Amino acid sequence: MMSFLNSFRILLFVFAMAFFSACGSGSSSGDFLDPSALAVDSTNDRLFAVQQRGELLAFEASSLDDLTDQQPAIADDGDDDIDTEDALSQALPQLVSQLGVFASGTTSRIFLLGMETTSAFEVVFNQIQVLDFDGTSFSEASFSPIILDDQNGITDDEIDNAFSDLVVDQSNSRIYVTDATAGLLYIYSAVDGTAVQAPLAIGGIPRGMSLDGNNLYICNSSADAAEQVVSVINITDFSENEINLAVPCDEIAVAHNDSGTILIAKNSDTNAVLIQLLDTATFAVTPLPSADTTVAADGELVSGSGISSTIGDIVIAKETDGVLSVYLSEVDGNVEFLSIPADLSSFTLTTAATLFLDANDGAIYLDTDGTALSVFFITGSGALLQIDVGTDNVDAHS
Amino acid sequence: MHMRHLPILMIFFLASCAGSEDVFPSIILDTTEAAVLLPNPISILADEANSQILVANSNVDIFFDTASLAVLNVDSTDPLNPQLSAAQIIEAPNFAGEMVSDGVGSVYIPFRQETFADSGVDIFRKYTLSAGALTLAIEGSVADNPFGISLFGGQLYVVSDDLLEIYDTSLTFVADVDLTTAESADLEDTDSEFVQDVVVEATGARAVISNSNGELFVIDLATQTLIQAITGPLSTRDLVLDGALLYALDANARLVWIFDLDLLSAASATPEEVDDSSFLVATVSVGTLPAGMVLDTVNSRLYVANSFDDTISVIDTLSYTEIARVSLDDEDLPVAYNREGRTPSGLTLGTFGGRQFLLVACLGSNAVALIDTLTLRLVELYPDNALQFESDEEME
Repeated sequence: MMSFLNSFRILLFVFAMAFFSACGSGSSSGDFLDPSALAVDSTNDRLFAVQQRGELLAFEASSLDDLTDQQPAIADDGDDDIDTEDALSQALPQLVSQLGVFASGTTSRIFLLGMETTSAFEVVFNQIQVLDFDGTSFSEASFSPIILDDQNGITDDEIDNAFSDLVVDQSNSRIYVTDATAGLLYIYSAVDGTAVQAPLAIGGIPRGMSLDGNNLYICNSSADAAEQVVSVINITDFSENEINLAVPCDEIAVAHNDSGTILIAKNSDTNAVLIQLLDTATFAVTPLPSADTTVAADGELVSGSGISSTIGDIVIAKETDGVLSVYLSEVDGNVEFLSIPADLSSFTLTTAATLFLDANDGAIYLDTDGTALSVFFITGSGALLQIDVGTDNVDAHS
Repeated sequence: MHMRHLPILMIFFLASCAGSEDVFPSIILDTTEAAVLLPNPISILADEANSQILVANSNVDIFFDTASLAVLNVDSTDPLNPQLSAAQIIEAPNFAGEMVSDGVGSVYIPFRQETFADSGVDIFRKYTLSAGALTLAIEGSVADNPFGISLFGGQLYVVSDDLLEIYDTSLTFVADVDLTTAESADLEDTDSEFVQDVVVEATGARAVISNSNGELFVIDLATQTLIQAITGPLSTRDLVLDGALLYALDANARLVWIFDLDLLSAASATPEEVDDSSFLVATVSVGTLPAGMVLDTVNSRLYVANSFDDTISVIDTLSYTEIARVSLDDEDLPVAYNREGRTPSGLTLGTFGGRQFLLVACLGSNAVALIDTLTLRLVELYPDNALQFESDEEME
């Protein structure tokens, strides 16, 4: 007998995929589907994306128009028709939750954190797989994987902890990882995978991070009011300061120019976004005025005024003239664009709508002098969004 | 056409066949593992006190003329290697929906099969579950095409086409709520024909109803009226409520939406549309066509059955991130089974032998899977027999 249910399900899926592929202004077709994480190596002009179907892809960040020529670099799904090397396939986590890239000369060193299943079918979360890409092929780094040890004395609890964020520090050749479960910050060398420092205890539930200058800013999403702070770690001496936000937060972006420092943080309980001027001497924050309070209130985006759905990620791009462009991805496909002039006097909000739902993880592509050129966001509906910095023009690659 | 209405077409088809018993074989109730058949298990309950689980087999693929309910014993002598065996399998109406238990031996199940007495209503049953045995206690009726059910304050809340119905535990009708009022008020995306699941706040003040073809609905239970339609998710299926936090599974967008009902403003008009972003906390991407979920509040984990991918997403509810996706495909299983875990649908959690397991109703492979939540390793797939249903053969 015909299985109507299964047949209908398949038809529905195919239709949905066709619909999403056909929609979106400025979209270009290509072999890009279901990205789950991305990272950019600006030094080597490379963009890496992990797709839900178990593939790691490498692109030229500056020429995504060539996307149709790209082939999956590594696949973990065991398909025989995809050119894979077994060892590399094994090294790619089945589910990548965090992706980062470090430029080591002409080599891109890729850090992948997620769910891994060992050859004994044991599931582990606490391993960072490290792959090197020389421009044409991948290889596994000699020290891969890096094992995250929460130092609780228990050796068989590899799936207890949820790791919230991974940030690459290109200047100091490090990676930072937050552990929401254990309340820890891990610091490892990007060069050889050794621990730079024993894990640091971070109050509350450490979540998203942002590195600006010598400070690493870490959100806390604890329900405990005393822990609703942004932890500021001096990455030279590992001393800690706190920014009292008085709300829990899970996403953060911090950037400075000659006029000062801007902090953007997402309230993890209400989804509101704080837009603050940060005094890095006292770690006090003050609301940044809105250029038009009929569009957005001073210092904050809330439902109906700058927020139309849940915020996926926050990216700040700095231009040569000191202008800051802030982009916030949203699950309904909107991208909120905050333009902040070089004097950091106010922000102006505009909204760019796309047809691609679940816009989330973002990354910046910089040119050779460090000026931001493009911002990328992945979407759960199968497209890569590209925005020219300083504009609200969104190009969708699917 | 909507997937949830496929059973209706099946019913018409069945009804048009004179003597359908001649067309479809009789349900097999044999409990020996070599002969056990679980046709399209769709929902599952854990009865920890009696070391057993109850499985509702919906028979949506019409393998047989009727469906079944199976009581499966859990032998957790070795908790790392639990073994299932069928204690009892009884005949049941086709197209079971969700099940709800009162925790003291009564189980309530709506079926999307019409009663013999009245073709306009469907079957609603109360069963008594004891060690190794399930017996029919009461048979009643429910409005057309029921699926979701919730038990709160001694009353049963059942979602059917365009209606939320309220019954007492003797299956006596108490009241209903018309869900068509939002569409009548010209609110967009508020077709209520395909509503799916219902949860009730701990205060009993409001209920939330998922809608696989439109917006979520909020019901004022005091006035028994639909008061709000929520923008945002447009294809919600399973719902879970944890205090004020509402988890809504969106099948088409492949998302879990997490709302804080404490932030949901009081209704100013009836009915009104509310912007989801006003009380939305987070969203989490999951796999394709997510169908069911279960929350482990103690360990801060939410499990989601991705029915198209044959996977289970594991979400950390402290950070709202998907931390694992467990595959039930045969090539990913730690040991070889005759069946794989295809089309995972209903989920529940159960602790047996001091160890917690995720119990999975695998609708597409006619099996039940047990996953150890400490290791995320599949430890049992039942029945492990080579019997082939017709749809099994097609899918091979």
